Amino acid sequence: MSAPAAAPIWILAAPFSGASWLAGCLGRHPGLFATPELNLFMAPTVGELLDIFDIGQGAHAHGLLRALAELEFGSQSDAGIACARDWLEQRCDLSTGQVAAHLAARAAPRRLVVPDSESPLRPMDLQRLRTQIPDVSIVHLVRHPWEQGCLLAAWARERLFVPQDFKDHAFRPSQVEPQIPWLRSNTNIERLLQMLPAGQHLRLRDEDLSEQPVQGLTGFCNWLGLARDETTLQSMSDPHEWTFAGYGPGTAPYGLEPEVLEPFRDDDLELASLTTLSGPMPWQVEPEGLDAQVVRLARSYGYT
Amino acid sequence: MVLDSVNAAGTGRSLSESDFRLICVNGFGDGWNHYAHSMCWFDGRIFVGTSRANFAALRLAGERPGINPWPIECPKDLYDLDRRAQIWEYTPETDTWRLAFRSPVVHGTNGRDDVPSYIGFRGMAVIQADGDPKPCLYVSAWSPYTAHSPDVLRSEDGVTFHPIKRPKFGPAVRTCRALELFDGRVHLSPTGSGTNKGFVQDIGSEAIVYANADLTQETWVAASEEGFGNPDNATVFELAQFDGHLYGGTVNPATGTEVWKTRGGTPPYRWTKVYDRGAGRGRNNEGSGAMCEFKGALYIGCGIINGGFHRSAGIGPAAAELIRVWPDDSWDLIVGEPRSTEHGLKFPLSGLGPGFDSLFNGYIWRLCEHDGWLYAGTYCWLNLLPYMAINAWPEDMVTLIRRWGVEELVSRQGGSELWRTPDGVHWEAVTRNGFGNKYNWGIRNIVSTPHGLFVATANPFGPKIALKRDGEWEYVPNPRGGCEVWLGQPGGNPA
Repeated sequence: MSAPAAAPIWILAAPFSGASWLAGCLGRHPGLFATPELNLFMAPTVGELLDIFDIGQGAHAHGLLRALAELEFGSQSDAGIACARDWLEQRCDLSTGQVAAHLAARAAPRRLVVPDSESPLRPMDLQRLRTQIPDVSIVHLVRHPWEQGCLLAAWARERLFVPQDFKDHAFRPSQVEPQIPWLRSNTNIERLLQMLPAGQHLRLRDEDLSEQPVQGLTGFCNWLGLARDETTLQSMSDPHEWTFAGYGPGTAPYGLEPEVLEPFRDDDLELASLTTLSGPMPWQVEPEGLDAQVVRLARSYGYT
Repeated sequence: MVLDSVNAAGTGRSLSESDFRLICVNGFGDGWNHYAHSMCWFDGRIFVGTSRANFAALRLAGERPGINPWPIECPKDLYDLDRRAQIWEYTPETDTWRLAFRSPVVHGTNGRDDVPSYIGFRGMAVIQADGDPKPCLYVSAWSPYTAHSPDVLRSEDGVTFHPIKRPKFGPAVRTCRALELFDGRVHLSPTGSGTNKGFVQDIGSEAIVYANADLTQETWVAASEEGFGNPDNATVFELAQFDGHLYGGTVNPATGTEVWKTRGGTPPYRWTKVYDRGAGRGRNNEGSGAMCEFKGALYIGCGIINGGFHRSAGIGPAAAELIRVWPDDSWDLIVGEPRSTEHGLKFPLSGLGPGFDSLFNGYIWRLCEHDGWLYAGTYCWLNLLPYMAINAWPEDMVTLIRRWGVEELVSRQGGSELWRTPDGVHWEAVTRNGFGNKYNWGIRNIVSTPHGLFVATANPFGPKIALKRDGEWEYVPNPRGGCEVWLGQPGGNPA
């Protein structure tokens, strides 16, 4: 394996909270190398992870394959993806933390940044992150539950397959309920952060980064002691030139959250911008408003 | 919701699959010992009560649509089988088993002289009740309808077993399960019924908790009203103590399991409801099958009777959930489906969906604390898949199973699962395939002892199992059929 590198930076967020977009921004910093979502900690070892990738219906493997293709084999081509797959299959006994360390070493001297909206759904995945990368720096990215809910619901409206984790199973058939992954992910992240020293994590609000990107990204750079000159900060405000922006090759097109791959309709975006913590939520079949636990946690993040 | 409600302090070493050693195979050498249906640590030895030929009885009780061929070879007449239930005793120091008791036979209502008194022993507990000079081993039995009402057996020494005076059960009561000493009385409840029209293993004919302080006397009284006052509560299926209360969990095919609790007092007790409607999941949490206190909360394993598919009631198939109840009656969803409830949104704190993320885990069947860890065992019906006509299933389900491959699925994940946690939130699998034996379809008992953690299985795939060879089904002996017992100790305790 490669020599140790600086500890990676992990962006933990609920689904549809902007993790991929922030990774794209951070990936534009000359001192950072941001990957797509790797989903490494769904399993303790590469072998078990490949089993999960194989049995799943989604595209959970794509981000890791794209990252390996880029870092290990020099390009995100179909040939590079094939090499990345072979690389993993030959290393089934490796821990997934060792793969993270290897990617960090390949990215060095740039520091690895990994967006992750999957691990926050499961405490064991977060525990693997904490135990396999004890010195990981964590960005907890949050988004207003109204906006997150509107975007997730708009995406789900066009989908046949929506993860069970995004649904309210009190209904038959179950209904998409974005509050559930929002509350679940942020609660699990909060529980994780309670176990870490204060300096090891930073909370960012997606809205602050959108409205005042330079200010928000300056705070981030200060936290990690990164260069924050004006040119760099301007560059970071536009993630479209990021190495992993957009779709990957045909054999691994995904690895990013849908919100950075497919444009939302204008009316969905307009609705998402009308944030509030009260009143009926537009996606609900039987409008009841936000759950009290969601409201309480959102308020603790400064949302109104 | 309490973010830091759990505390991993005080935990010892967890057990992994490699820490377990097989100490009983092939149903104690008799593949008709299908279920290690009860287990208890008593006087420095482990006692295991078996149920006999469960799968044959199921087959002969009536047609089972959708399963063909029947997975085991069965005689045409159930009475061609020796169904006398057994109790086995294991001495750790010598690593030896002894047959401690075998059911007698009686003259049955069918005119036969070879009807077993007991075809299964479904519950065990060490209890010192009034009138007991020392803690005694009590065993709740399962009797066929052609014999007599089910007994509770008592043993002072693990050598001789005698029935105590039983409650005045109705004639259809066939078995009890839990035995719980609480507030100076022993409590039990009927959990199976049967007549000449058939039997229901998991629903009693009366949903009553009985209590008795002196088991030498016939002084059983009702400690609850029928179904805790709800006629839809078909059975009080499980009992447990927690926070100075006796808890009872029901089977309720109409609206889902209910959990009730009482401080005791003078029977009949005053019971209060902890939750109903299957903790907001409805009928897919039909019953409460396991209860265990762990680090300040009561964990409750749920399930749908008949292995996760209560066909006659139209419930399921669905995988099981795990609930955690606090002393103030608030509850958390630990394993299961996220949902809105009258108590707000609930999501699985473990991050695991129903059945520990396996559709095939129909029950979370047993729970046990050992050395600061909570262990949970499942019942898994995956190994029935090769015998099921899945063509008739919903198309998306069939597509998924074909994509996975039946043989691949069964070989990798056929068999029950055992999970462990230090805090109720972070769970890791000990085994996901019945300790490597796909025929172990249930973790039926888990007992913590000073000698290690004993895990006993339900394994009805013996003595002969249907295997397909060259496109034809045939019945062949199965050396791994019949219940097994595994002993877990750090390092694997080589014999």
